[in-house]
Amino acid sequence: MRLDSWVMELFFLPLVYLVMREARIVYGRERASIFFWGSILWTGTIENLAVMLGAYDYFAYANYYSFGGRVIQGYGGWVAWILFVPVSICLGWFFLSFPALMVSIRLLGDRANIWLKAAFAGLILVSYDVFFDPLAVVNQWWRWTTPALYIRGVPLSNWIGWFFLLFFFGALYERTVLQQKGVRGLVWLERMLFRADTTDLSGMDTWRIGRIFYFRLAAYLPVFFAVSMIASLLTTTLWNNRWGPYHNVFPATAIHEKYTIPAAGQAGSPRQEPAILSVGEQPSGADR
Amino acid sequence: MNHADPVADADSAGADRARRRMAFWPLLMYLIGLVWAYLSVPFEGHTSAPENVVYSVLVAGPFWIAMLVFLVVVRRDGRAKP
Repeated sequence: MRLDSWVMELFFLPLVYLVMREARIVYGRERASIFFWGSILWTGTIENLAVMLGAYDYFAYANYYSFGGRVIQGYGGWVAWILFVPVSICLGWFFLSFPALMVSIRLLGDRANIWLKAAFAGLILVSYDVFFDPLAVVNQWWRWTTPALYIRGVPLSNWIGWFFLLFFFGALYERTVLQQKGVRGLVWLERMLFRADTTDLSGMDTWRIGRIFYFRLAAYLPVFFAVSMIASLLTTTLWNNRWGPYHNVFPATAIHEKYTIPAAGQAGSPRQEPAILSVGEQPSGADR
Repeated sequence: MNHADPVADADSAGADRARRRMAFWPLLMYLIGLVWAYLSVPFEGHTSAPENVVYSVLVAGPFWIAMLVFLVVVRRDGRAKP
């Protein structure tokens, strides 16, 4: 049986609300909101860039789902979108990562290093996704279109990305919002931007701390991409078991051109054009 | 001017209950996911739905073990309070 993505959202969105409600009790309304909006900005940006780089897509143009192109013309299978990424994907990250970080902080204690706590939270998050992503793939909620080592239909680079997503976000959140301290290397830039000494944020307005947190997330975005890309390319170079061709809805990237080998009978044509599925058409096995 | 965030008293019984619920909801989603994994078509490389469930229980071990340990620890904290 195949479950449509809206069925998943039906169960899932009320639970997002419940986690937000509890987080407001535990951390306070403002700190919970900072985590919420920070996670939307963080994952919304990274997921959209990953989709545009051709790592995966959400059938945005496929008219594939049971409602897509039949009951509701142009419906892409998800309730709402941020550019090319369903809102539920960003909310899902919030729903899992905030409890994971809370659990990690409590189990490892206040004395543990923030990066260690963030790494443990990342491990919790990844272990959930190692179960969930193969389920999403066989239910065709999204499709992976990147050269990589595939395990149960999911590239290893996905889990590397998931780990570093919470690793950087969690460490910055704890350091900035919970501990209210500075981040080495950013203090001089923050002094210029915020006209304040950001080595110690205690006593500062919580919303202002939030703005500093968002800035720190933006500053760590290139770091996230650099670390994730290096780790992913390394594993792909060593253990790639799926070379393509790929059918992402976006044009081929340089990475894909490098890794894609011509299909039989297509000499000189390194990559097939993106496949746009029509109403009722099932994707081929190579798409998944 | 300092607008301190009115955070719930970290030691209060209400905050402990909220912590437990906050960890419980993802655990509930995981349990729903296990049912889906059973109802769903076999994952890539699997031949049957029960295989999905065994795989899901094994690989998500760090997730559900950490959540369960957390629930026990917070429960114990709550009982230790006068």
